[in-house]
Amino acid sequence: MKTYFYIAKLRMQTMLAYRVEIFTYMIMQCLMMVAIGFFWIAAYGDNEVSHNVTVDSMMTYNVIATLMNSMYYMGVEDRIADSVKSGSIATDMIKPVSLFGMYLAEDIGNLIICFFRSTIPLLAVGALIFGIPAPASPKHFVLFLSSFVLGYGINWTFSAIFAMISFTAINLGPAFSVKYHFVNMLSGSIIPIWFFPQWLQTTVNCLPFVYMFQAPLSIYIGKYSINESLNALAIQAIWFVALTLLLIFAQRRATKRVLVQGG
Amino acid sequence: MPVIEVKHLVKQFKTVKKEKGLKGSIKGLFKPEKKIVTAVNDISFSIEKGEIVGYIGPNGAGKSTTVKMMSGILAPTSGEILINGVSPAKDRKSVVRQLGVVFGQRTQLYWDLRLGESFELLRRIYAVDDATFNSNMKMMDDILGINSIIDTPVRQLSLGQRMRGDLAAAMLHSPDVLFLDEPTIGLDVDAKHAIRHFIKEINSTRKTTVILTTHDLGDIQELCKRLIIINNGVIIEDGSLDELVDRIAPFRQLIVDFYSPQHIEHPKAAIDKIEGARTVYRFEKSQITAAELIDDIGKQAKIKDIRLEEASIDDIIRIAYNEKSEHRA
Repeated sequence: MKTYFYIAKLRMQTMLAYRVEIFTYMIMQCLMMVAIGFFWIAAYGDNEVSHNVTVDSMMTYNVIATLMNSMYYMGVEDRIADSVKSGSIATDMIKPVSLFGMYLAEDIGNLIICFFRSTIPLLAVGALIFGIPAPASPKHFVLFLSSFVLGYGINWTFSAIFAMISFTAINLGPAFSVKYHFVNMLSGSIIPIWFFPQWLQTTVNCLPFVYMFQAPLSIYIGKYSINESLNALAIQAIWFVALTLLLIFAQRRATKRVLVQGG
Repeated sequence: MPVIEVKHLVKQFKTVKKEKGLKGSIKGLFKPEKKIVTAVNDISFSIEKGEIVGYIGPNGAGKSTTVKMMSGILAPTSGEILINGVSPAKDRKSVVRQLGVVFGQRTQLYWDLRLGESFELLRRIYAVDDATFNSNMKMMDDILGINSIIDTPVRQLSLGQRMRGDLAAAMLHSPDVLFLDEPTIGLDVDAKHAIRHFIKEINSTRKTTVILTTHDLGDIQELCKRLIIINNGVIIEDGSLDELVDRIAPFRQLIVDFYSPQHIEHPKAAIDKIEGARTVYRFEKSQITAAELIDDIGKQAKIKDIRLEEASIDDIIRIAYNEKSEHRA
């Protein structure tokens, strides 16, 4: 366990070595958040409420969604793809540690840095322009935190499974960005699914994506009652367990066929 | 019991055949033509504790593939590898715990962080206790001068310094077996010397078993008591360098300069050529020693100068690579 803490710590140190990147990300995220915020104000127009969500709640949704998006940094994708492509996966495999444990530890390191990098600027800018993004109630906030953790788990296992394609296919090319936009659209991270036509909502609700973003966010803004929130948490837990099992299964198969490139 | 046992090891790769032109690329997209390449073809050997073995062969011979299978990175297609009795394909984690591995062409160090951070991580990964860690670090400093570079970020190290760092990293947990895949590639004379010294030192003080792949003849001559030569995925030679030399080039040349042109024959040596006062003799080591030959010739004419020549390691290795591949073709 000490090992994995240290891996997370090293990952944080590595990220801090690139200061310019940190500031660029910060500015980019603030811009995105503000742009989407003004879009919602324009879209609501004279309406105070749409789909049982007030403009103010929608602003909160937007700020928290941006914050979550920055913390859901799935380094595992590039990590696997790069190390398979360059062959450096060999140096990971000569260590007596679990590969995916190591990747998860690195992403926890990323998460912590992203939290400190993004929380203050995003909340400050968000509060200044759109009002304080407060949770619906303290109970909702606690439920949101658990839902966020499960959402992270779903997102991470999904990304890891997806990235594992590179064990056999090697060059994934633009597949990651296709996946990124797919998840963005279908998870409610930008536009909540409730604005979609009914048939699409039904389909999307059967997929894991809404449980990455929209479920925790709906809890936060109080669109879900306490009971509905607990219900959402249960479905999240099921998805998380299912994806974890799939990851373990896929990992057993994939490491047998791992290809190491170059000399 | 041998430290490493390799039995009938085979590794095949499936590769997609790329056809030329746009038409070929499009065809490859829908109906890729698969080809099976055998990188390692039924090799067996065993290595005892404390040996330094040179595992050599031309580029693409299957050296690195074998090393990768022995260190649990690649799974063999068939055959078996046992390291201290455990198979790396079945129990990677417990096997790599006893291994140190260095790949000359890539590093296991954290690129953006100071060298010491990588050591600290490895210390935790292998659960090295303080006393062992400190004594190992001291040894690494004595032989490799690690302390002078320990605070430098790895990306700022020269190749030679980085290789020292990688060697130290591989030895921190005092492994029984050290795999070195081209450890001196691209290094200058000084760095090569330091690394060879290091390998000899850990081999003699700790009885670490070392398997070394290399193209550097200096490495082979200085370090390897035993050579395993592989080409086209099969072992073509397994023995000491001396045995190899005796088999491939049993002849030596004795170049004798007299004061005046001579024609002195000897029953156990042939005359290769005579150039004025210089006569070149060719003799077999098993037949006569150089001293005896010089003695016999010296009795018949006064010798001004002598030089003894042996086939160079370079030539011998080249001949060894070629002779067996010709058989196969």
